[in-house]
Amino acid sequence: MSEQGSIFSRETLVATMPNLRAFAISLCGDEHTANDLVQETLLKAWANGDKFENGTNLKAWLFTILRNSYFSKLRGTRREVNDEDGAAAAQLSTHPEQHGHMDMQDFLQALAELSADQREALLLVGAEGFSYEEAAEICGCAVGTIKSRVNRARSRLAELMNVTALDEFGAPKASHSAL
Amino acid sequence: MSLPHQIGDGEEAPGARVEKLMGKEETNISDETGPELDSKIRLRLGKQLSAFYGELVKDPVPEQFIQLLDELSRKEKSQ
Repeated sequence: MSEQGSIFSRETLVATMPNLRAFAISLCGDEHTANDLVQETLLKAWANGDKFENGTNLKAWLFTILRNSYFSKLRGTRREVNDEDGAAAAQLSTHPEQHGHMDMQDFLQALAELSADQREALLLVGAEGFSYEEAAEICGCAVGTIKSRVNRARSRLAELMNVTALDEFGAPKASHSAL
Repeated sequence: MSLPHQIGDGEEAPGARVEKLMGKEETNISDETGPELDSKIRLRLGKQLSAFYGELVKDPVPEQFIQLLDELSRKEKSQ
């Protein structure tokens, strides 16, 4: 069996697909572009399988390929389109009701308001659960830069989502007595 | 094409990290890296982010990717 085959078994890649796709959608803001990114990532991963070191983190490697593709596209489109981070027209083609009570669209829109760097850092660390060190490797930057981006992303997102330290349902306790 | 650099081993379960980093840990990781949120806000935001992301992860993998992977596997085997 070839070395590549042992690493990139169909099953291994299929297992990472849900996370890779969730990251792509949250990063670029729409499902269609995300699917293109995921497809490109799979093809690049397969073509460069010999460069992957067996025993290292395959998921992190795939995420690195995907974010590199995203950011090189972003640099390309920025010249043509007056769209700050390419995600202004964020949308999900799935219907919100498919996703329970949570307003997915609102959250996606709020993410799109962040700078691409901040959005990426928050998703890797806060949503995907990579360590700061892993995220720094994926993004090719310093650990301190990742920490700073995550903190800024959290602050901005809290503002955008109007998240406050109130009771469980988000209403100030005082408002109940005022009614 | 830009190739990713090599990545070290992941050593901790992702779930554990999500909880730790999204505020279930009360101790502050504050350093000179930007504003720190109130821990309750962080916790709430973390829950929202996890809920949002969790829904996306639950989506079924589109058939196009399964087909692509099958095709790649077949090509490799025939080589």
